Amino acid sequence: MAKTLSPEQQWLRLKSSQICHGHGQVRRGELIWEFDARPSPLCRSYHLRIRFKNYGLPEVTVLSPDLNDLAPGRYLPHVYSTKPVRLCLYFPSHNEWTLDKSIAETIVPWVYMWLAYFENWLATDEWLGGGKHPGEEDAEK
Amino acid sequence: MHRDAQVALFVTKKKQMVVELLDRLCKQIEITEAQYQSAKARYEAVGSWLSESKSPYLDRVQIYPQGSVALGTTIKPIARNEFDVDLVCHLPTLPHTSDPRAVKALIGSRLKEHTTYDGMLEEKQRCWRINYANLFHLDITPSIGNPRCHQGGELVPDRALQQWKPTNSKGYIGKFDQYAQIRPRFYQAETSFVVARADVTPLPEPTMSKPFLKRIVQVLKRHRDQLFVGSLRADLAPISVIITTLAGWAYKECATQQVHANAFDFITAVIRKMPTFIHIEMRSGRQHFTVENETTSGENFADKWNKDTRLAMAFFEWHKDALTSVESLLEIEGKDQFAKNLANKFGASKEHVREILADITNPIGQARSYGLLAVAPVIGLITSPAYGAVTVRNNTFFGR
Repeated sequence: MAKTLSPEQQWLRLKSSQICHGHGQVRRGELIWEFDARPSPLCRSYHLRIRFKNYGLPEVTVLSPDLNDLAPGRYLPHVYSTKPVRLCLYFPSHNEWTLDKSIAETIVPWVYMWLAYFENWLATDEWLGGGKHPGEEDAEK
Repeated sequence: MHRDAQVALFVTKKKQMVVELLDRLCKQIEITEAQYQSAKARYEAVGSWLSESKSPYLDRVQIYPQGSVALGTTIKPIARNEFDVDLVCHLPTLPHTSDPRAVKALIGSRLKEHTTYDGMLEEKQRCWRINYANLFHLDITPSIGNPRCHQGGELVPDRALQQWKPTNSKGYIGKFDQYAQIRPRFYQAETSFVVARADVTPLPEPTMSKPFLKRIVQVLKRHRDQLFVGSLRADLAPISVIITTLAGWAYKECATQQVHANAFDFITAVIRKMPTFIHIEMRSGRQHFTVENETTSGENFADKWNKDTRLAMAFFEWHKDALTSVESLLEIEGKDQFAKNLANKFGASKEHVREILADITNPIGQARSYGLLAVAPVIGLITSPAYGAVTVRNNTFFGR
């Protein structure tokens, strides 16, 4: 079993990553990291926040722009909640993310990918990123 | 990476992607190879039918494409399904003293002898049109030799069928192709700083899937159609041959006289330069416009501007809008906003937009399935690994 990474260790990795420039801290065992991500030069730049507590699951929220405003009257795909916009980036029981993995090297790249598919969905109503919906846990990726 | 270098890299990459967007748009709206082959088989059959006539006047008749099909600058019409396939029906044995009306009638009566063509035939002012519903129509314009043209030009009827006027369709195509083959020059500096830095993905040479000149003409014509087709001023739309000619000259000058930082800057420089090649002189107190066909003498593509100045004004107005529309693509953020702009300014349909964006998004999925997808600083997702980039691990997007 690989060693788990503490919020402080995750913070260090986020801080030294070249793809999630931002700022944040660990306070009372909780990591908060805010950063900007632009999935491609054609895309917008998004401001996001990651929260992580020891032995918990990282939570990713899009702070701005408000994705609901970009898609008025439409239900956002692959989110846990729409207010605030919390992204569903991985399938919890697949071990895609585990406590020994660096958020900067898993969650953050998934955010880029999610946003790239999101903008395509915004334009065409098609989600090309695949995935699973609750209730179809056995379905293929 | 230094902040300035980051900004430069980002802008360069964005320009490259915008050029690729325009290239993809052109691919969506141009005639496909299958459509071209089908049109070619049909006009060759028309040519055979004409040459099999017993009439001595149709002896050695040749039929060949002119205009966008021959130039490689086709665009689908916005309001209807059929492509225009412009053809010349050259009758080399007829003297220049022939009556244009009679020559046109000669071709018409031969076509009417064919039971199939007869039912598809439509008489236009200067040509005969054979309609292939939902596919294309063949516009067949008669031409005879021009003994006074040293460049192998021809004579075609004027709109009133009263006189012959000089043109040179083959010469024009040859000249345009010659311009299109000139390769623009790009600064090495901008790309080399990228290549020299190991933490950045090198950018490929700027390129489009067709010569830049042809793509520029297609983009401009499409923008023209979007601006004028269906509007109250549809009859003022700048004609394709003027757009093509000015683009060709501007292209030649920009490609041979200047060095550009990237393809986007080159393309906008060409468009910006176009009006400077319109020759304007004062004649009896009025502006006289000339856009000369350089492959023959006596053909002024802007002839009508001198009878109706609204045409000249419409050209300048269109040109300004076209340049702004292309330049401002750089300020757009968001694939959905690009989609909106391609639709509003370049007449991209929903289906076109879907295809164009899928073309950009699908490689992400492919690279992801091979484990090659990565995120690079500044430019985001890349589909092949690069030093300094973070590989995207396997995941399954969950949630509703």
